[in-house]
Amino acid sequence: MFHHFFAPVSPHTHTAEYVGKLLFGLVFVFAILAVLQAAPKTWRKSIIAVFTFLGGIYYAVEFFWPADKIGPNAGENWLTPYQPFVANLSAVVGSFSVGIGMISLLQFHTRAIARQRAGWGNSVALILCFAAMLTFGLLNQYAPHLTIIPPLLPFGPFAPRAQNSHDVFNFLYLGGYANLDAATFSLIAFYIASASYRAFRVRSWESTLLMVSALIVMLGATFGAAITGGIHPYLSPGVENPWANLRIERLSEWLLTQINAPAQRGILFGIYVGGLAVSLRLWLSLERGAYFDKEI
Amino acid sequence: METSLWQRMQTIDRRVIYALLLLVIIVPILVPSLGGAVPIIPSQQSLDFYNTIEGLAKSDPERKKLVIVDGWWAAGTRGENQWQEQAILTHLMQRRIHFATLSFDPQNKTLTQNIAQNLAAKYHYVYGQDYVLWGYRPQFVPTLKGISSPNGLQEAIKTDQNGTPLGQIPVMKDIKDLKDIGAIIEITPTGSLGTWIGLVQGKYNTPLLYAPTAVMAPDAYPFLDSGQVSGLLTGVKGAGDYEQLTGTHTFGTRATGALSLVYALIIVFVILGNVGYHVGRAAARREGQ
Amino acid sequence: MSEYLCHLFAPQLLLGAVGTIAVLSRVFKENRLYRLFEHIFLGLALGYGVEITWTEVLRPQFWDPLVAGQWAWIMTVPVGLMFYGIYTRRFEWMSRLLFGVFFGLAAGTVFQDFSGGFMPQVIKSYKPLVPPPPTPGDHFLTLHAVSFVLNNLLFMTILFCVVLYFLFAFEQRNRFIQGSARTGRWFLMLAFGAIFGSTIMTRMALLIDRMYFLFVEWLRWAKP
Repeated sequence: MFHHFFAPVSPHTHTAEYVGKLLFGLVFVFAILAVLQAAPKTWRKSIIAVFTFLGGIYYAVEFFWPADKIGPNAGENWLTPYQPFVANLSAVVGSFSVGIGMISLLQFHTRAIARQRAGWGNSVALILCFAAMLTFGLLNQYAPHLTIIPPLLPFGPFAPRAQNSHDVFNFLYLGGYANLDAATFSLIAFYIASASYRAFRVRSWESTLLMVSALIVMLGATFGAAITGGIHPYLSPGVENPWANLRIERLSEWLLTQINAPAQRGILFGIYVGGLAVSLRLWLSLERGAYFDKEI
Repeated sequence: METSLWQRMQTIDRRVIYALLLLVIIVPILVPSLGGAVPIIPSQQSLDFYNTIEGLAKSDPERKKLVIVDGWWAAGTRGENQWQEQAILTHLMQRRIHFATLSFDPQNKTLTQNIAQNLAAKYHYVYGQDYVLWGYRPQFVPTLKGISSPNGLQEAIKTDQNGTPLGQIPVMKDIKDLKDIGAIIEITPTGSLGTWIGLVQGKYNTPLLYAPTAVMAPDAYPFLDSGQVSGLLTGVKGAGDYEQLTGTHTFGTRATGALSLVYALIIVFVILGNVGYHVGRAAARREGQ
Repeated sequence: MSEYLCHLFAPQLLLGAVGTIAVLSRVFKENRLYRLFEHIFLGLALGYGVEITWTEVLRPQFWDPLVAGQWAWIMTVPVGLMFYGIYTRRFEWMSRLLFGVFFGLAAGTVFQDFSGGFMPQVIKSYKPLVPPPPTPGDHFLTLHAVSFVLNNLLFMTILFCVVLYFLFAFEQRNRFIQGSARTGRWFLMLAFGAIFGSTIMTRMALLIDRMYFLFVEWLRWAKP
């Protein structure tokens, strides 16, 4: 009966039933939310804790529940087939949050324009670019061949063909967004160069070790091979030269695999155990802090 | 108080540093032979990466297995990841290995598509028969869980990026779950490796090959040691290694030359900065005495 | 010449080049062009983010199934609207409720992550201290055997020292433990040096890529 009630309904052949069920769905959920809203304020933290627990229960139980060893569903338990549904549901609900970022940014910049704050022209550019990207992104999906700019000049070296919505989207996306994204990330290179001259100071044994290690890795990745290239890797065909282990690229590999690897593993142990602890605290609503202790 | 040359150098305008940096980058780009003087010796991890793909090609002559090429990278890190992806897809196409690309960043879908289509034209790779683009999936963990569940791969992915059901695509005909996957290649600037290892790799010990930005590479060495990761391409250097191994020479090879000069400059900066600092301190102590 | 000019002023390339120069100009001096392109970037990113959310998630997983007859998806709308309770004092707690569900979802996946990722790391940390049988044709048997044992011993020692350094569950009074923790800190410095060297590679590679775009792809002052 449950499956039958939630079964799909054709909106074309059973329009009334379809609309009725849509309205029912909306009213049902709003009713639940109204009941939650009507609950006493002192219950709210407990309600949040219950929902937090319920949010994690599916994946946790699905992992711990024994799986079938044989048969067509070997490796699965009764919860495994619902994974795609849970994934879709969380993706859809999570996607509704995109509006929060959009509203915040647009609010800030429309206020800047309205109050004509310094640099308000940039805010105009932001909103225009947002609208353009959204419009042409959607047009690129729904009507990619729609002519947006007709051919301006029929002849000559600058005669473009007609620009359709796909072209305009590529102009904004590949020409604008992708290049600006890459350029923004590349800014840090300058600050690293500046910091290497002004800030990286060898003041103690620890910083000396750090610098030596960095030097070996940097040389090993680049021209270090040229510096120690005189140490031949083979004494004779098929006979390795043990001194070749002093070549910088091999020293660098040894440092990465024999020194860096166990140190990183030690850090990883801490991350895994700490991550498990924090996740359990979040799941069981034991976490404390400014957000979790805030009055509701 | 008279300031020595070293002390004056401590207060050099930072724009001089930036200009020097730009110079050592632009010159080898314009004169590739300058950077070409530096020999490219592929690292052991790059060799392991390459040999894993070679091994797959040899062990699966009928091409029944599929390789998943997963990308998280976007335009921001294209300087490393794009060239890694290009080198990797080149190798897969050279060996006629079937692959599917999967993106967990929306930008990556378009960027990967451009690379795959350009290379497919060069290596006569046919879409649907030799490779497929699964497109963008917004949910990382649920998608991985779907891929690793028995017979769950097609249900988890459902369609390619054009909306065609996977069952209708010839290259996906016999690909039902993780047992049909020959290798997973992760090209990423993020810390997604642990999740692939935790949710997918350990199930059937599927070879997992990792191509991160260089900053993420040291974190992968524990997994290389434990065998959970079978090969590693470290940033643009790894891309250069791979181009060397596959016999293609594009940006990765060129960038390695520019990188050598940049590293030399950084080392000079660090040495000069420290010498100036210590000389200044010694002078200040002498004056104090 | 005209073909070169057509290429130079091709709208897509020109926008990318001008934008790149505008953003990189920031390192020399804060300027209006940089500010303008920074805002353009933000606007494009926001528009793209919203468009992608609709195109890749909401349309295929929510809207298309809904209009095809799967009416139950309508129930996600009021649930999704709970996020916007953050803008009102009365319904703010509803947004916290929904965020709590997502925290729980993320926390629930950690068990599989932990067992699949952590346990093999622990198992592989126990390295053999007995060298493997010698390879036929190996001319340096003793050297390889000794280096095998020493490398494994070093590996486990470093791991032990680093784990000890991060152990804050009890006060480290014992001199052996204090010394081991200090040694762990030194080994961590070596590891951080490796990370530092790699970080430089990443950042410089991104700048090299931008210069390649400007001088090779746009200005064509060198062949690709």
